[in-house]
Amino acid sequence: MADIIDINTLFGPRPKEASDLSLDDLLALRETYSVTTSFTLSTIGILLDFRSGNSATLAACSDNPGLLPAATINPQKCFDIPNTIDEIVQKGFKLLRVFPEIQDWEPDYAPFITLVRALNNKHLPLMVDVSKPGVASRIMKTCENSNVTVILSGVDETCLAEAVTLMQENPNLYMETSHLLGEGVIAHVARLTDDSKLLFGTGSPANPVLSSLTAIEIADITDSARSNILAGNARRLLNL
Amino acid sequence: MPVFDIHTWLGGGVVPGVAGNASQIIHSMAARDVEGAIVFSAHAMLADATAGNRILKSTIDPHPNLYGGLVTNTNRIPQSIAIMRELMLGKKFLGMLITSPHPEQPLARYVADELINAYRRYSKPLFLPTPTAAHVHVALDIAREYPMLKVICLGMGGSEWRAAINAAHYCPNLLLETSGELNRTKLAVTLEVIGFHRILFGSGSPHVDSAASKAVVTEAELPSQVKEAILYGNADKLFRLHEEEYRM
Repeated sequence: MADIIDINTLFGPRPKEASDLSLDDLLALRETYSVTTSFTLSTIGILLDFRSGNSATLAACSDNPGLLPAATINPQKCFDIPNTIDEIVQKGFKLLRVFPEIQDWEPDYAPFITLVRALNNKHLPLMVDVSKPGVASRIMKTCENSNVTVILSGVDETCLAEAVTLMQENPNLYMETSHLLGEGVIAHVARLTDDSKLLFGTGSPANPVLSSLTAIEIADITDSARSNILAGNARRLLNL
Repeated sequence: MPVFDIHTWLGGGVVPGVAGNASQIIHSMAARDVEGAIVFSAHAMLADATAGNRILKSTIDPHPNLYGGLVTNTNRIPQSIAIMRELMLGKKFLGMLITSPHPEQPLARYVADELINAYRRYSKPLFLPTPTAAHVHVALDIAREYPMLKVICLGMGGSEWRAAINAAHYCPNLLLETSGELNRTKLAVTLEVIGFHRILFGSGSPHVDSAASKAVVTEAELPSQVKEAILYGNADKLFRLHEEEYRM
């Protein structure tokens, strides 16, 4: 059975959904598709209060061994970013996620610059949701003099060429696959960059796990590349 | 489970060597167990409706499992009506799509009406791209104005799919195509509100791989006969795919 690490799952309330993104649904989907490990995050941390959200995430993960906690910070609501980052590392989070478009802040926003500086020399990869052209370029501009590992999440056809160009230029840049659903896209990106730069993610339980999984399974890549994308790259990058 | 994809494109993708010609489309369909598809021309959508639709015709003509969706543009009414007359009488073109110079905005009704009035005589479904709720509202207006016309919302409102479901609830000649947001719950909600007879599988391929789109249907908690209807049966009935005299 394939080792699968899903680096993009969420749980909690989300107003655009018919109901909350249920932790039970997430767990059931993990079982259905034999997902070994899922990084997860409470939507409370994105939508309302990152501290409460991080606590909810830790609580969910402590009750469910297959879940690993991803932290978040809303730079608009954090007045002591360096200490907050230290706390996040101490609490055992292995991934930090930020959501500039949902929270409506810019990649050259001073608190975000501070956040990137605070992450320098800490082994805490930063996953950034991007869906509009130009955002990834500006994120990388902010990160250019740091050694922070950045994972772009939510990249779709509209910002694919931008993300690939940035990945070719930045050894510390990776891409999550939940929106790489176009025909031939996974194989194309793997050819243009390196299959070690892609990390499997689904966005479940909002998004169907099977869509993301099928995109990897059907991709014209080697079995070894497939296995790296599904789990190996995440294991290496996130020290699992 | 047979699959008929009512929404695919010739050209327009970002990956070279994908959906650029009939052979690439057919190879992709075979690899994904898709039996047949309606193909729209990206050339007609983005550049030149007349040339794009003609190229599409010559692309699909030799292939019995490929059908055409004519693309017309409100910015080129005379040319659109001319290409409609040239191609819609043929049995390979199963419907017509209307776009505008600003597809991100909903259609201007008073301009679209000219095309719809010219199109009614063919008694075939009308495809309207509906990436937002605002587009869905215009589709609803059109469906109400032309109750004999089947109006298909391509993309069913994108992330605002609830608007498409509500619109279909109020208008029996409005149908929903499944591409748009790949959301795990939207089909179950749609089924609850309007039943399954007006839901048609479409992928938007190559922008979204039809295998990934199909997974939304297969993963949904729906009875298998409902999945079969969405993936094939409803399109079969609507487009009369098995009526040989109609197809030839």
